[in-house]
Amino acid sequence: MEPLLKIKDLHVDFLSYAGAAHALNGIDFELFPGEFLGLVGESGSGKSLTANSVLGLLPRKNAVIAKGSILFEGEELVGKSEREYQALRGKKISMVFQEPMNALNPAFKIGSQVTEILKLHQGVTAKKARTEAVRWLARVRIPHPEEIMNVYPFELSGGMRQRVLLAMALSCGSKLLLADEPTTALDVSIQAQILRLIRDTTDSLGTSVLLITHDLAVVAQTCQRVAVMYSGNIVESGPVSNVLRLPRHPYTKALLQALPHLDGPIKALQSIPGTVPNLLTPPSGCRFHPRCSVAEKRCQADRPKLLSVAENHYVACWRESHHV
Amino acid sequence: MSKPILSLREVVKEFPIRGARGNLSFRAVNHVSLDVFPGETVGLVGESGCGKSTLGYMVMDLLPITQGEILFEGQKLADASKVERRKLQAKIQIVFQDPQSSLNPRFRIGQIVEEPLRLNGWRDKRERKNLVLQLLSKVSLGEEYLRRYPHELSGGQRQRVAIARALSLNPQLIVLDEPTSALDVSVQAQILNLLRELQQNLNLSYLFISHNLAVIRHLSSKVAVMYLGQIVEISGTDDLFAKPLHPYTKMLLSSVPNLNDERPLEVAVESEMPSAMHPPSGCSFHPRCPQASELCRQFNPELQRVNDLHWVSCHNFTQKEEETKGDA
Ligand SMILES: Nc1ncnc2c1ncn2[C@@H]1O[C@H](COP(=O)(O)OP(=O)(O)OP(=O)(O)O)[C@@H](O)[C@H]1O
Ligand SMILES: Nc1ncnc2c1ncn2[C@@H]1O[C@H](COP(=O)(O)OP(=O)(O)OP(=O)(O)O)[C@@H](O)[C@H]1O
Ligand code: SF4
Ligand code: SF4
Ligand SMILES: [Mg+2]
Ligand SMILES: [Mg+2]
Repeated sequence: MEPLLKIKDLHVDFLSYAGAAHALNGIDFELFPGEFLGLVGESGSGKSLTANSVLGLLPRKNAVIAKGSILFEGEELVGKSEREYQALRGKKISMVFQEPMNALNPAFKIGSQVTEILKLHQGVTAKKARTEAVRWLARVRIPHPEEIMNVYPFELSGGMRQRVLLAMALSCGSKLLLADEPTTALDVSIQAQILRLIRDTTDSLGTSVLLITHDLAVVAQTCQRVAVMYSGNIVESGPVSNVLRLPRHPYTKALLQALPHLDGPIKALQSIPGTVPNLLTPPSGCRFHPRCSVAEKRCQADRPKLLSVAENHYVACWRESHHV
Repeated sequence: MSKPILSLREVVKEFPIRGARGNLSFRAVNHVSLDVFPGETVGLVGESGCGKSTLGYMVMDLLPITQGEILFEGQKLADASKVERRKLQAKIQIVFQDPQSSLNPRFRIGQIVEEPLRLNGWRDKRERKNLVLQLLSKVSLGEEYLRRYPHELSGGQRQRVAIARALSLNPQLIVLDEPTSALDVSVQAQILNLLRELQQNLNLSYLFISHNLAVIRHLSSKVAVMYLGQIVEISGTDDLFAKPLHPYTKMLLSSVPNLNDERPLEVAVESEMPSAMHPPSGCSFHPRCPQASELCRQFNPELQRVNDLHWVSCHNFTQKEEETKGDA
């Protein structure tokens, strides 16, 4: 099967008076049609940056794609103009973010915002768009959708706003949904509702989803595959059951041992020594080497490539490259 | 058993409803009773807005209580003389979620940790400085941090400073209000390990507020589950996670993503928590409860004893049922 999205050796730099920060340092991954891929990593690892690169939403004044390629349906996105991106965004590629309030216009009622999107993307009449809008609100399980059409965003809870945004994102028939921490600001019972909703609706529409989160447990119960980021690199990727049960990269292993669990015996947590590196002066070679308990000499000198260690399972670590 | 270090008795907190005519108010905390014993950690969980922080602030005497009483070592804060009150207050400290905003950005780390000492009669400057160094070393920060400002530290380091400051007056109880929620997983592990170590070394009690159930389970010996201002279930930690009895606790536990589970998340209820300003009649969980009956719509259930440590407030719970289940 051809991937829907194929990112190859993507480098993004931020330019400032202090120098260039290599925020994305050559990342590789693919997303297949209908697939649910989790992108995890700690704060500042480059998750949002990856999504924004795909969407053409990098800040123009100080960010550049220094190298690499983003293929969407076989078409190169790197180098496209803002105009060309506008033809993709919200149509073939849609997105939801952590704070839905920012993505809704506070001055307009829900109904007019959803209707507007439908008119724009489906070219239907105002009347038809209104019926469609109600149908979409019902589809994302908003109770009393007719009434919700007439309220303003601030009158809704965070969970309800996220449902509205999902309706807007999915109603234009996009092939790819980029969801950047869509449930991080929500309570767990609402999070479960929204994740289930994303899964059910995208399943029935055949939409691929890139779910960005820092919560590995969310990945375990929602995604088929996962890519783990550390300091601008993808260090491990593969099927969820492989990566979470039999992690091969020292960082993935360390992250899993740092987490408290909901069941099983209570064990001491293994913390990772040190802190996440500064991107202006990242460590040489493998960026994890100053914190890695099994680092070798060459880890400081050269960067390991993301290589296959088992079917569909990729790891960027010198220790693993021996086996390939 | 020893005496509780902290006791809440039927504590109520009412806030005025803003913009409402007359003296309308709502209950953010509704008749909460709770004991914390020396050296133990009591976890407080519940969804956003259920009243966890409000409860913590009342314990800290940062908010006045509307009704009920709070006893510290059997003594009412409200009744204590000014001097005694100060002494008691020093024994209870708090650590907040966001170390960024709880540390004064214009003070150096050394001054931040020293401040409570200065305010509490430590006159000798050298002595204070020595103690500050000891406190920082307790949270694994070296002397080089003394002259830094909060913004020059990472989130985890700032939280260490907040903990060092909380330890400065030899407290017996620390209220921890989401102390790791703003931190990365690897840093969270450092802070949780530190809290556990300090507790063992100093025989501290914690009132640990969090919405992260895995974190609560990791640290607490006892857990209280709050819903719309009330404790709906309280229990020893193992029992609560293995055998939750209240329908809300069950819903909460089934909604939390579990790292060791790959089945799609269960959606226990489709509805949301009602606003505390308009609480439902009877049992406040009834609009979302799959077992709700007419009784539930009319009467609020009392906390019933399951065993010495385990209490639940639900009309559907009967002790007999529990015993037969236990025998099976
Ligand atoms: N506009 C910007 N200017 C300069 N640096 C930036 C900018 N946006 C992001 N960065 C840097 O790029 C890196 C990656 O940021 P990104 O937002 O992708 O992280 P993230 O993984 O999404 O983190 P979080 O979990 O906190 O959302 C960070 O180190 C960040 O400081
Ligand atoms: N100073 C205040 N004035 C009026 N209402 C308040 C005040 N502080 C809190 N509340 C309200 O009291 C209720 C309980 O709030 P509280 O902050 O204790 O919840 P919480 O359980 O800590 O939630 P979270 O998990 O979001 O921190 C909420 O409805 C809140 O809006
Ligand atoms: S490449 Fe070396 S430093 Fe990097 S994770 Fe592997 S062993 Fe550790
Ligand atoms: S009292 Fe009734 S409504 Fe409340 S939790 Fe129990 S069964 Fe549900
Ligand atoms: Mg982000
Ligand atoms: Mg709170």
